[in-house]
Amino acid sequence: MLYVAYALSGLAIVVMAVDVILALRLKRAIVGGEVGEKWNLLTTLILVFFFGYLLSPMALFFQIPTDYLYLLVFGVFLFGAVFVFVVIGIIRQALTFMRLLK
Amino acid sequence: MGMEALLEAITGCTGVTGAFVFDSSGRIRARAVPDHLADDQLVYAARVMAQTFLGVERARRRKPARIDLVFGTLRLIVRPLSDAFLGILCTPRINVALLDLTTLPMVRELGQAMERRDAGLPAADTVRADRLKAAVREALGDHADKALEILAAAGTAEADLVGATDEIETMTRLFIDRKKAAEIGRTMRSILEG
Repeated sequence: MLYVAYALSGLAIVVMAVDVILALRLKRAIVGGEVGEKWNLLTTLILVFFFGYLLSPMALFFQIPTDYLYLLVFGVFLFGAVFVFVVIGIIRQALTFMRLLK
Repeated sequence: MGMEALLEAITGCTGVTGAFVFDSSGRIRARAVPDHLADDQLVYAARVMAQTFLGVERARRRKPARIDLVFGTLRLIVRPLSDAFLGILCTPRINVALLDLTTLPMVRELGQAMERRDAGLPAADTVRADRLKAAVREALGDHADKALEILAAAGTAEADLVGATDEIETMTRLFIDRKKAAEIGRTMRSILEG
């Protein structure tokens, strides 16, 4: 079971590393404006997630107390919710600009 | 607006079926008339109307405001422009007073458009579109390409340019710079308002 957890953590780190590269590449293409500001926030969140993911195997290795683990899990939930909120905002603005949304 | 666009606008008035501009020799300068009216018919009518107009002018010693001829199913109203005439084809029972009221601004603009064309100057709407493009280039610099594409697609009609201005402002606010969006919106609207 522990090895499965390590494997999942490793996979998550790889996927998030790819996300970091993609987000930074797109950041160069976005000049600024409201979408640019949101993209900066999104990139920051992706970096926070990435460093969190990097540390997650250590949480397993050092067997941190359950209380801290809860804190970590709900922290990830919170940042995940903010992340989804920002993504929805960007999509809404893009659709508004494309006149697909009023 | 260009002369053709103005004639189209006049033709859009209730009861009007066509409009054309001709000079004193009967040469058609611009037209927006139904296809079933052949060019030679129009030129003939224009020549006769121009001569009639000049005849009336000589007899009265002043330029008549209009000549109004009613045929079977057609009415032709000719109004003088600065150096030419405007012929309006309409239904016989048209309300002329209302027609005058609705077409007056367009007739004035038509006179100005003709003067610009005769002087070899670009039409006023083309000048305005060029000023808008220059304003976009100045405000957005290297990021002006997409905005210029929007302007080019909009053409030169005022309503389309107003729409393009809104679109460029939104695009700038979303993707380039919030402050510049407000600035470019103000500049473009002041150009549109003349």
